[in-house]
Amino acid sequence: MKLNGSEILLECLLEQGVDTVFGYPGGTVLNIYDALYKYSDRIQHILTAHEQGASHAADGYARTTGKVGVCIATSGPGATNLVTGIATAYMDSIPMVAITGNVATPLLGRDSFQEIDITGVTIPITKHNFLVKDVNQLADTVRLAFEIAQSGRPGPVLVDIPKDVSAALAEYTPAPAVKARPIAPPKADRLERTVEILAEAKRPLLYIGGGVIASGAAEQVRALAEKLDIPVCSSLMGLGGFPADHPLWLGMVGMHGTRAANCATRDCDTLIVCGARFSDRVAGNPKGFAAGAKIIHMDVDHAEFDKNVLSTVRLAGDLKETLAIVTDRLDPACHTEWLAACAENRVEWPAFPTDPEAPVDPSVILRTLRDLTDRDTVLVTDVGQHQMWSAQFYKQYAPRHLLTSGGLGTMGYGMGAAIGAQFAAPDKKIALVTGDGCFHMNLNELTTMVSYKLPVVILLMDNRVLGMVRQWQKVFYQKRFAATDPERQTDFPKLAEAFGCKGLVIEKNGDIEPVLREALATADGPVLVDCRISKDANVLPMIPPGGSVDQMIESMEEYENER
Amino acid sequence: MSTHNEERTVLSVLTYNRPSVLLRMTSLFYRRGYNIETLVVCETDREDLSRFTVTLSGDSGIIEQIRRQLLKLEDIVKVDVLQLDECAASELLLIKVRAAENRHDLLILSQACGCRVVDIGQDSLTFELSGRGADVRAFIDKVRPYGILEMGCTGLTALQRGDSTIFDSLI
Repeated sequence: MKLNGSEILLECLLEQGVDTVFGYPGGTVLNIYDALYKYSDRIQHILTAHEQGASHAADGYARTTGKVGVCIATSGPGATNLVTGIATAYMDSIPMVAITGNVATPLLGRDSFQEIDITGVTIPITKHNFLVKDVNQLADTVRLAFEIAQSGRPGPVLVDIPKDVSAALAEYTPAPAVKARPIAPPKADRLERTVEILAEAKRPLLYIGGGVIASGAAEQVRALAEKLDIPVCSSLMGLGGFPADHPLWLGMVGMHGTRAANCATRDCDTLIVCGARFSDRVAGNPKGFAAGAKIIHMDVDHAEFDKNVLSTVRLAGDLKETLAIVTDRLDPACHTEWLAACAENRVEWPAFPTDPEAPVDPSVILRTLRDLTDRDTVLVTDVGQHQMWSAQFYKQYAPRHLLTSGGLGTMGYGMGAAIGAQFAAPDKKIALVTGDGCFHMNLNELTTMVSYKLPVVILLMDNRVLGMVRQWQKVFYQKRFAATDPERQTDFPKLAEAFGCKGLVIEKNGDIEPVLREALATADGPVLVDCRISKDANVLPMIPPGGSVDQMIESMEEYENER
Repeated sequence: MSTHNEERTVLSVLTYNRPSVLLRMTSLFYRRGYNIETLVVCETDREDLSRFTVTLSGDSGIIEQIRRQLLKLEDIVKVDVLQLDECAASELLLIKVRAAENRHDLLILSQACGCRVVDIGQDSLTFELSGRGADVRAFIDKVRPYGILEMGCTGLTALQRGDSTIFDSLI
C-alpha cells in the first residue's frame, strides 16, 4: 500500500495504540496536519495555545496513563518551544515521542526560514532522536522511537521529519505495536546478598522513587514492606507508590520532607532504595545520607548506581520482578522497636482553624480539598511553595495520581499537564494547584481548557510574590527580596472570565469549604479559584541545601531568633 | 566519587557508524563534566561499526560511571575499559623543526629515536614518529632547542593485547 510520509506516520501512531496527540500546526507540518484531517475519526488532535503546552500535555497524558505521550510541532520556533516540555519529561523519565517538522531536505543546513537543528538541540534532553531524511526509513524509525521511549528507564524521543519526507510516497506495511525491550533479571549472587542483609537488618527503611511508578511496582513495595515490617519513605516522584494512610508510611523524604522520614534515613541500618536516585533534594549532603547504613540500590538504570551515593549492593533489573523475588525469599519479620522509634518523630497536623474570618492557610485548603475529593482525583501541580504544600498535605494513595515536575522543576508545567491528564482520564476529576508566578507563565492554556470544556479545577495559591524564591531570600539572603515581589495587579477571577472560564475567590478561612465545593461541582469547563494567601506563608520543615536532618528548620520564628 | 585510585584509562568504544555519534558522545562527556585527554575515531573492518578510542584520567568510580552512561546511548554497541599498560597503543606525531644549520645533528637524533623523515624543506625537516605518548613527548622535548616550527599529533589508538578483541561476545 503506497502512502505519503504523513499517512505512514499516523498509521504507525495507530499501530502503537495512539488515539490522542497534542500539537500546534505550522508550515513544515502542513502535510502531517492534512493527514490528521483525514484520520480525525481515529486520532484526536488537541490544539494547545503554545507548543510548550502541547509538550506538557503529552507528558501529563503519559504520567496519567503510563502510555507514551505524543506531541507535534512545526520546525524552528515550534520545535524549540517543545524543549522545556521534553526536558521536563527527560528529568522525570516520562515516555514521550515528540514529532517535529523541518524544512525540506534540500533546504537543510542553509539557515532556511524556520529552520532549526532540533535533533542537535535536544541531544542532551532526549533518550535518543532521529532526523528522517528518507521516507522509506520513516515507519521503522517511528516504531523504534516508541520502543526506545518505553524501554528500560522511560524517556522522551524526538523524530524530526523534513517537509518533503512527510509528502513523499512509500510502501507501507502494517506491523504490530512494539514492545518494551526485555530487561535482564537481577543477578543471583546479588539477590542472595540482598536477602542476607535484609534478614539481619534491625532498622531497615524503604526509600522509593519514581521508578516504582514507572515499573508499576507499588504492590510489590507494599508486599515487601508488610512482610518484613519495614517503614517506607518516598521522594517527590515516588508519592503514590505507597499508600499515605498505611501505618508503615513515614512521608516524603528530603528538603521539605517529614521529620519522621528524614530521621529514619539518619537512623536506619539498612536502606532499600527502589527506583530512586538520591537527588540533591533528597540527599542534600550525599556523604552524610544514611551514613553507616548498608544500602541496597534497586534500579533499571545501571548508571544510577554509585552516582550520588555509594551502595553496598547494586540490583539492576525491573523493580517489580526484583522486589517480588526478594520478598518471596525472605521470612516475615517484626521491627516493633524500630517502628516505635520512627513513630516518635511523627508530627501531628494542627486542627483546622475554626474562625471563619481567619486568614487562609494553604495547608488547610489542600487538606480540605483532600477531604472533598475521591481517591481517583488526579492532582497536578506547578513548581514552588504550592507544589511542596501539595506533596505534604494532599495525601496520595495510588500511583499516577500526582503529576508534578520533580527533576527539572518546571514552572508553567501545570496547565499543559492538567490538559493532558483530563484527556487521559475524562471521567476523573483533575485538580491543578498552581501559584501566581507559575500561572503567569503559561496561563494562555486556559483558552485550551475552555475550548475543550475541560472541567479542571485550578487552585491558584495567590500570594502575590514568587514565594519559594522569596522564602530562600528570607532564609539565606537576609530578606533581600530581589525580583520576587513584582506588585502585579492581575485580577485573576476577571482574567478567568475573559477567557470564558468561571472565576471564584477564597479570601478567608470560612470560604474554603463552600468555594471548593462549588468549584468541584463545575462540570462544563474549567474553574479558577483565586486563593488569597499570605506572602509570608513558608514551606516547612526545610533542610537547607547541602544539609542533613540535624539542620532541619521547623519554625521560621525560632530560626530567625537563633540567628 | 573520588574514592579510588586515579589512573590513565583507555576506553575502546564500538559504535554504529552514524553521523551523530561523535556529537552524542562529546555532548555526554561535556555535560557530565568528564575530561577527555584524547579521542580518535576510525572505521572498523565491519562496515556498520566505528571504533572510538578515548583516553582520560579519573578514578575507577568515575570511569565506571562514564562506561555506564555511554552504554545508555542508543548508538553505542560496546565499551571496553583498558588499562594503558595492558594494551598495544600508539599515537602519531608530525613535527616540523628548524634545520637551517643543525640538519646533521637532527637527522642522527631522529634516527636514534626511530623517526622517519617525511619532508625536507630548505630550512626545515619534518619528522613522523609513532609510539606511546611518553616516547612522543620525549622526542618533542629533544628537538625543542632546535626550534619547533609546527607540529600535529593524533590521539592514542589502542587494542587490547592477546587474542581477545572488542568483537568478542558481540551478537
